[in-house]
Amino acid sequence: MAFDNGTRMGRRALLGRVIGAAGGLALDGWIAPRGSGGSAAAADAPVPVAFWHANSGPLGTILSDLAGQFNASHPTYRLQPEFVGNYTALNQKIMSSVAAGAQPDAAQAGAYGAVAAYLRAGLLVPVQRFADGPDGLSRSSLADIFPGFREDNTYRVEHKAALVSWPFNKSVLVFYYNGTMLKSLGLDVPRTWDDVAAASEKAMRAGAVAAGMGWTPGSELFAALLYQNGGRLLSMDDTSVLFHAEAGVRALAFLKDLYDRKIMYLTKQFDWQNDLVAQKICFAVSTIVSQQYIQQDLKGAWDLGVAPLPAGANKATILFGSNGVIFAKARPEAQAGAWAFFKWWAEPEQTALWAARSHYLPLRRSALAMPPMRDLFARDPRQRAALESLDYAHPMPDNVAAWVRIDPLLQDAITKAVVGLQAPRDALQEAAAKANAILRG
Amino acid sequence: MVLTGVSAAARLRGRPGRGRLAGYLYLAPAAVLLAAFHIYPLFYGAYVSLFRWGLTREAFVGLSNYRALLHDADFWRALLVTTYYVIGVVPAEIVLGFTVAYLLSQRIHGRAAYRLVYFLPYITSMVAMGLVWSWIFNANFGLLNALLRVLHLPTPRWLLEPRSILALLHFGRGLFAAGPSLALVCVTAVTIWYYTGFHAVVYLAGLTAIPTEIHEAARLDGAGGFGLLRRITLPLVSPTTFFLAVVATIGAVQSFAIVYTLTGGGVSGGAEAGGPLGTTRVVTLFIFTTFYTEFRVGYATAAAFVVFAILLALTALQMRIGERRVHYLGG
Amino acid sequence: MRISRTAAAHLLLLSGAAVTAFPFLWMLTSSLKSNVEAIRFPAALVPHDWLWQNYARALAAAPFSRYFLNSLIQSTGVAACVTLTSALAAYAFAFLEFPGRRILFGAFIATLLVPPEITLIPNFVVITALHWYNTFLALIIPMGASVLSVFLLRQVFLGIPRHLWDAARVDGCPPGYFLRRIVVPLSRPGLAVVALLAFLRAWNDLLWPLVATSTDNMRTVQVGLLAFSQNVSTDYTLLMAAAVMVVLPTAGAFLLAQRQIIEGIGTTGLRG
Repeated sequence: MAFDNGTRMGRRALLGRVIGAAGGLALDGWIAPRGSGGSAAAADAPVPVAFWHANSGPLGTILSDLAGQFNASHPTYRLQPEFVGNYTALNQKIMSSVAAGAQPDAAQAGAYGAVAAYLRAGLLVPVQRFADGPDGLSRSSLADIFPGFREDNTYRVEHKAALVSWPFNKSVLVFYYNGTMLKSLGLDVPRTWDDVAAASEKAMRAGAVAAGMGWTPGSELFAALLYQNGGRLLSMDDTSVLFHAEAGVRALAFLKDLYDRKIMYLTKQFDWQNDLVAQKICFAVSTIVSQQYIQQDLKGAWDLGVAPLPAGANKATILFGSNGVIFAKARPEAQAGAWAFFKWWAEPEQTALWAARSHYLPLRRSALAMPPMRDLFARDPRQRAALESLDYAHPMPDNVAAWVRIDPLLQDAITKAVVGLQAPRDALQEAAAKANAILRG
Repeated sequence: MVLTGVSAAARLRGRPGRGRLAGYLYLAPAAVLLAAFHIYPLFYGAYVSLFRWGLTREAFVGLSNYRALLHDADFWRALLVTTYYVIGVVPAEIVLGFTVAYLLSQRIHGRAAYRLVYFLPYITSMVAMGLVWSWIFNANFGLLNALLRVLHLPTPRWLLEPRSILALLHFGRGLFAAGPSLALVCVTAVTIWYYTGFHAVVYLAGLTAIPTEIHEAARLDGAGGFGLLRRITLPLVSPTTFFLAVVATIGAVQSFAIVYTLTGGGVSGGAEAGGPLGTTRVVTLFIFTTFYTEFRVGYATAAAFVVFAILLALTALQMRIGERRVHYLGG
Repeated sequence: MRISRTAAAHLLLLSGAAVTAFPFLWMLTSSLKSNVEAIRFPAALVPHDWLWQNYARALAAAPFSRYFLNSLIQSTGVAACVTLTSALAAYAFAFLEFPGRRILFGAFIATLLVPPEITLIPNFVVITALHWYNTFLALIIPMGASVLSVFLLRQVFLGIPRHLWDAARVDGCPPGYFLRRIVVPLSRPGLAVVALLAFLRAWNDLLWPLVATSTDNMRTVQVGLLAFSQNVSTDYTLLMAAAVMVVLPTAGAFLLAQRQIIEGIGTTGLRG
């Protein structure tokens, strides 16, 4: 009957449609993994350089602008910045894309221990190789870069100290205060933690704020206090932790004291910003980069002040941020392009531009004389606070691969002690024991 | 796949009602996908769990991942948190779901509208509603604390509070480990809010399937209200109860999105997901962070297998209980 | 007596419904407030100004239109794949006879026991080996079969009068023809429910898309929303606007097909 022919047609047509659809998806290029791959570039086509980063929103726009400038002045290369998420997400995505064989050519690495982990897994090309190469950096150039940034990116590679990653976004921990409120209460800008406590109590008594400071628990402020008390996070050879020594106990006890006296309360993520803007608190501790976000939310309601981190027994603050890495699996041309970008990024003109627009720190001293920085300081003297702090800023041990597992332990210990669930000494001892076990492997 | 059209059609010619080969061919697409992405992972995962496997496969370590898990305090804590979570979620969902369904089955006007509202959370994005709830629970600006402040009541920190709810209510002596934290209780509440409608709908189908003659007969015999409920209705919906208990338990153990959105996600400093002091770190979060943040693939897979084994045992236990206590209508 | 019982029932149901519905209302009103108003105390229930531009700002703050497109492609792909594979399989189980049918049916059921925790990591490794990582294939294919949908459709197919099938067999009608010409047209509602449920499940999925994608331009709406909430975003009203945009499509689809969806889900419980 007519059924047979009709069936064959019907089923074939159905299958044909399915295969066609699948093929369509494939042809759309959605099968090919991203990366600097693709067809072999013609001799004069720019080499694409895939660069993954964690700069969202306005920062991402600034980065894209700068990338555009790089591409214009370096026609052999085409930098392709790609926003991937915050530092944690960026690290996750880099690792999973490495597992997939689809990693980018270069990336920002901001999660603690990320660079060290990538280095240990043999994923990176140390930038030292390029710095020493034909398109390299002169000694004076290298010396112009702030020493802390250089140290932060130096690792032992084949028994020699070498620059593995390249400084990218750098910021320090600074102190924010409600300038208008302090003035109205006749208070000076706090310079030490005692000042902070006194000012907070006065403001709280006057009913101006619910508490002096809001803080999202994190290891950075503790680390700053630790250094202020003369302690260290890790031993010199990075084989054991030292945060549980007396200095650490003092630092943690101090934080607990602030909490117990209700001078400080705990917040989640960036809620302290909302609190500051709403004048529930008058002080906050965060990176210099937060300034623009707070300013944005403020809409001129009151004067935001920025000061170096209050001092304890000594002055100390913490260096943050991320560094750039180049992946070994990238094509040699793409690697060269990534290095060209990093080198260009650190040149005085560019780093001054980036610093002035993003409020991250400039990477070298000569940038401070550049017009964008001079304009910035003229417009906004508060920015000097961050730069002053560089002299006594300590980096977090993000060149220790295991720190990504130690940091949460330290954070838990801090939270437990501050909230009163465990004595500071015990909390730190416990965390140190676990941390040392992790370091021992 | 093109083979289907040609060879099957060839075989079909002239033979009435045949379909032997066709049966397999029709099953093939679904079967291949299920085999590839549901069965194969079982075996491949077992293989992976026997290795130290980071970014790449490193070394065969036999059962040492499992041994390490047995000594991993974090893993045990994750199991404990999951237990609190399951105990909090499953009975509440079932009881509330049944209550709503029972009320709706009493010839209520606007039943469809109620059903719609109760079911709504179930089909919406867990991420979106998780964000809304975390805003409601916000310690400083959230609605809950705003209401409490108006009533001059203490304003807890909700999703930020690591202390156990028993301690906060002044039972026990503030022991950290005793009982779920307030944060976990909040997560539990949101989960219950999310799934109650689903339970209600399933129960409603079960309730309306009970022939009305049974209720009539019981009422004629003098049974009323509660007695009717207890002696007739509940036993008759026991298959549904059983089904929901199994499904809800499995669902609670596997719960990820709600917990991750409310208390996880990783703040940029690298804090691991799991709420205040890890008190909402259920096993799925443990597996996820071990896998995706720390990238200890072998270890995470071993943990997944342990959870799987526990889940199988739990389900088998529920089946055993169910066999004895579930009454099927019509034998 | 009877009246007050109904009143009591209504009271209980209404309060429960209020608790259930309230977060949606709060989400809507919060999305229209200014951030200043949102963090002010006491919190207003109705916004003072209705800032529709929050939605424009949310769309600008993160590439939500791209996220939506990705989710649309992913969910439609999954729905199509699931409906196709489930219909074919359900057809085989409902009508066709072949050796080992019962065992295979049991095998299908057995796959329900394998939890997502187990499949997550091996599937990730497989996806990367196939070079599907961060592509739509990774988002769609692994989710392309659903045993529950097979059940549902089998149920629906079994509801088709058997004499039609018997007549077709006698006439020597090939299975494909019967499926295409008889079963499918008669089961359109069931097929629609399966497709819709698969679409909803794929749309709301978080864990797998989170793990299977890396770059921002491949993210689905759930992953994108979560990432948006984790980045420097202190503006809760923006977050609420984004949440509303994510919820709207599924809520809309649900409202249009609520009876079918609810009944479809309800019947899965009846078999027990």
